[in-house]
Amino acid sequence: MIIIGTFRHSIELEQALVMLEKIGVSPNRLLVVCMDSDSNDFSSNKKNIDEGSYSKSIEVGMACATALSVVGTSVGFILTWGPIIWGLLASIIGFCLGFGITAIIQRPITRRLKKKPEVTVIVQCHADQSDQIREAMRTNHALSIGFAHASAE
Amino acid sequence: MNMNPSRRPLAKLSQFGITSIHRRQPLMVAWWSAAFPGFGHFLLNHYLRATFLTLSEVIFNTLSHINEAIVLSFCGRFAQAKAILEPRWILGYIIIYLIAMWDSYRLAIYQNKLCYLAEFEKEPLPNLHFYTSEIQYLQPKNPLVASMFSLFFPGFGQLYNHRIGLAFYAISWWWLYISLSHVHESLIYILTGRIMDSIPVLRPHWLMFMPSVIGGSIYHAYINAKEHNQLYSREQRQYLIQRYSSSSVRIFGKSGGDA
Repeated sequence: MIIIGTFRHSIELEQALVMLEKIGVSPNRLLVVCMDSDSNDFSSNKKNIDEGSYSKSIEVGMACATALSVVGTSVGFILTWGPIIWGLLASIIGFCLGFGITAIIQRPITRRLKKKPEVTVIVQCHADQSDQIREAMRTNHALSIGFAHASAE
Repeated sequence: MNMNPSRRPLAKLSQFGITSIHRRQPLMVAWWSAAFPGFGHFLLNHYLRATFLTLSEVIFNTLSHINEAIVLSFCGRFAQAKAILEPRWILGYIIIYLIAMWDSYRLAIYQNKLCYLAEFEKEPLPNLHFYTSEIQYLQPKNPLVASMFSLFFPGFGQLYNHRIGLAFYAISWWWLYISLSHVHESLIYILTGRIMDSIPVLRPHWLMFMPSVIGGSIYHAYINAKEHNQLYSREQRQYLIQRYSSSSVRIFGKSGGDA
């Protein structure tokens, strides 16, 4: 039968593979497929560093926070609340402005799966190993596990 | 690929952490050089020259009274700002400041090209290395944890990312800034409701270094954690492809081995 598990890149993935070999699944009964998604594309050499999601907005937010907090801290010396409070307020405002404006400009942020599978592990095995193999995957952070009896054994 | 295997590697482990090449926005790098000369170079993994640039920034800023002049200018006291600046040091300071920005911008563009070529060469990445006094390994990192560490105390985000040299350099400086600016004393006044007392204890010159340092430290920790994740995935892929390339699994049709 065939068992399929999906994983993220993690140390647990390698633990799962080691457990499978300990159960008695030889490496050539495993098919490990690395999955590409557009946000995490290793095979194509596209020059774009943009990773979608909010990554760029956070970066611009932090840059603006630093810039405004320098101004806020300075002006704070002649304002009632003093440099620390004004510095902190200015940095929060700066972050929100930078983050918000970048997020709006980059508008079409497609809603993404929070945990996309990055690696698919396909195991060809006897039916009696099936429970052990699925257990090994489950205890090692598999995102999803499926199985089918259909294959030629 | 019949190339010299080590011509353009993407990353190297050392006692001090993971040194690697990544794609960057050159303008972002230039901006961090503007926030604090040397920070752009830290982002580009030019740690030694970045360290010297930050030392130069603190020394010549202090000698030419730039930070006091910034505070006075933003407060509208321009005559005092003019008077406090030290003509002997100010021109040199400005030249170094601009060159640091320019240089980091230029380096970022070049590193982007190097990165493009290095990714094509697919040199095997290191995973784990032992040194006499350290173990270094690739590990998935949480960028938010890295940022939070640096938010509370700059340097600890770098420690989280195994960048130990920079971590303790930043931590030492942060202690110096805290003590010279009296910022934590001021913070205690604020928290105990004595806001009016909290202002006079502050030393503007040293306080003005702190926003840039904390911002730069958070950004560096965040971006570095993301890069470590990318390197980790890349290295794991290289391993998986190499180890499981001889699979005899056939999903459709006759299986290739003895099942």
